[in-house]
Amino acid sequence: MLERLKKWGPSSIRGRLLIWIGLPFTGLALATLGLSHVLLARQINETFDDMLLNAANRLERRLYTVDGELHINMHYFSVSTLGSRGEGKIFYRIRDISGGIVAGFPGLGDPPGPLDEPLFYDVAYAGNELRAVALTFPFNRSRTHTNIEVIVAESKEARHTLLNDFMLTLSSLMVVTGILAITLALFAIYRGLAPLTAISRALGRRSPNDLHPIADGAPREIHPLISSINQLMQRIRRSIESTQQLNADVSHQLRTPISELRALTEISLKTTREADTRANLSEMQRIAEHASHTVQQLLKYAKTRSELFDDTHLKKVDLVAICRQACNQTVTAIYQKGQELSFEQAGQPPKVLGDPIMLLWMVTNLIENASVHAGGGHTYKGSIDIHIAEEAGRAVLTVSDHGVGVAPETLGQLTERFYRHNPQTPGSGLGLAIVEQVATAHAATLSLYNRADHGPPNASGLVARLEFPARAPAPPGAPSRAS
Amino acid sequence: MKALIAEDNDNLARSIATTLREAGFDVAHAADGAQAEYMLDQGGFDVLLLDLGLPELDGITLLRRLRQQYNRIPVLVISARDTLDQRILGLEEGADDYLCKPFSLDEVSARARALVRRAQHFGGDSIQCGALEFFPETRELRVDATPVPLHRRELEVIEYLMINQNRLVSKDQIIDRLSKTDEPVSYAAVETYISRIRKKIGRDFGLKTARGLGYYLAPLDR
Repeated sequence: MLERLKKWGPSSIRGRLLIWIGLPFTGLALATLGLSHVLLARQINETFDDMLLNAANRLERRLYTVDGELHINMHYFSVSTLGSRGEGKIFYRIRDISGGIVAGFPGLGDPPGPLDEPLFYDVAYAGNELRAVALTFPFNRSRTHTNIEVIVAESKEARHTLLNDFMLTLSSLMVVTGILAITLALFAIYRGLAPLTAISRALGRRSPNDLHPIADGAPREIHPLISSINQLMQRIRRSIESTQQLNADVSHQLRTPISELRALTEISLKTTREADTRANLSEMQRIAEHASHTVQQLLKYAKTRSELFDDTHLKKVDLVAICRQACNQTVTAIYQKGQELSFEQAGQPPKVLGDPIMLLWMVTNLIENASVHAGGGHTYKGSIDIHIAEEAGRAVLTVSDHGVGVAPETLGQLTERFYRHNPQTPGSGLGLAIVEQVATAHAATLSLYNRADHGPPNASGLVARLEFPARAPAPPGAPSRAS
Repeated sequence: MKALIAEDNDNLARSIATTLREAGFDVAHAADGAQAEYMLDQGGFDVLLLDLGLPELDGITLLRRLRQQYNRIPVLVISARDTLDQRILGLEEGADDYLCKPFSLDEVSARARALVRRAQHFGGDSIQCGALEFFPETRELRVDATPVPLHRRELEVIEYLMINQNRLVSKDQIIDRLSKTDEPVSYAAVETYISRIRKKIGRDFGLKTARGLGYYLAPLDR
């Protein structure tokens, strides 16, 4: 379809309208100019021919006889006398039909046809393109009775000049009219396309997850377009809903069996004494725990995917409360490993517009990530510091450890899905990917760096820093719909 | 201590029951909501472990009915759903704690014990935390069966920490607790009580200071 459209012209409606209006009109204008040229040329030719004939007729009066011999008085014969416009050259030849040349240029040659009436023709003479008229008239003066043939020829410059002047004026007029017409057409196109522009602007203003139908009220011609867009939005919404349903189903259908597996393994491990079975059981327990962790992380990853992120239900969230809640949730696991949690608040960080459960996932994931990975290949024994501050009107959250840090070249890969910095440590490889998705959904920027890069060079450990936007974006919804 | 497990999954019910018995509970099991409601009507349970997805009568409805009848039994909700909406719903409908599947059995038993401990902390049973044992009736703390001489407020602080073992306890929570019976106290006072408790017990008993967060008491592994 697009290929076909491309064949038919540019991809913008404005361009296409301009071409479809402009090309025929230009053609029409050129045709008009051509026709005018032909008609004008003919008209000018006729007028000039008349004057030429006039001049030829006037030669008759300059003839006289002296002793039966024909003479011509050419003293005052000039271009102006001929009635021409004073441009170009004049050639003439007067001949007595029965005798010889009376006067003029013998080389002008004979007329190409019989001279029953004045004959106009084109002739070349001495390098000039000439228009000539030839005529005969009887000459009866005293005793002389003869027929005189007169040829008067003038060069064509005057005719060309006049024609060119006319054409120039006409063309200029047409160009001016054309520019005016194109301006008017552009304005009309702009006005005509205004509803389309309004719709695209309204769609652009929308949040990507606002899949409400576009409100009606547009001109009749674009109703099909609007209803197609609305149908598409409905399809997307259904597809998102079905994905969410699938997530919920997976969640429920996998969680229960994994719970069973895990519980039964734990129980068996408590009652079994045999070493081999115990080893197998504790491996099964480890796998069941890993599977349950991975299922939970995958579900979180899926739910925080930007296309499923529903930003129409965001509320103002107190990050301090979220951090405390995250600490409460993770504290047992942290202290069981011999690690410590510390929380510090500097200033009064502004509330952020967000989804509290996702923000909670984000902070717990950062804490868990530090807890699991800060030690490198060994178990980390140290503090995990959560710091929240207000910086230039923004809420800035950092979660840092004092562990081994991360090689600079792999820093960028940490948020990749299923990237495992330490393959031998447990984990799903999704923790920081989830963090990044939640950050993106909240227009926050996540930066991961080693403590030494932004502090004392002998400091160690990884810092995850989240900068939330300065002002909470306007709650999406009502203003983004087309009116 | 008597626990009722309302769980339709047989494997889970059996595993939780075994773990709770090991932790010193008498355990009864109901495989659906209606049976659980009937058994709760008979009374005598100290804690209810409630799966939300029960047949016959779902967990939320059962919980709502219990609370409408002013039955204050501590309820630990177990569910495969994990969104915050569900969590708020669970807690607003009167659940005392909430666990998501999949969970560890030790976690279930720790939470169940904590619920009972909190519900009974005015009752007669002693509270244990590793080597520590607190006797509410005689207001006495013993470490490995040896009494430790603590002042009244120090005793209140350690009792509160022991009731809330395995959880973060903020200084504000301790101040709230102390102010119920006394004049308001300051952060500095709380810190003083804690340091005196540490000095008088004289050895590590699993109390950690979490900077900016408060205190965390967990029994030491022995």
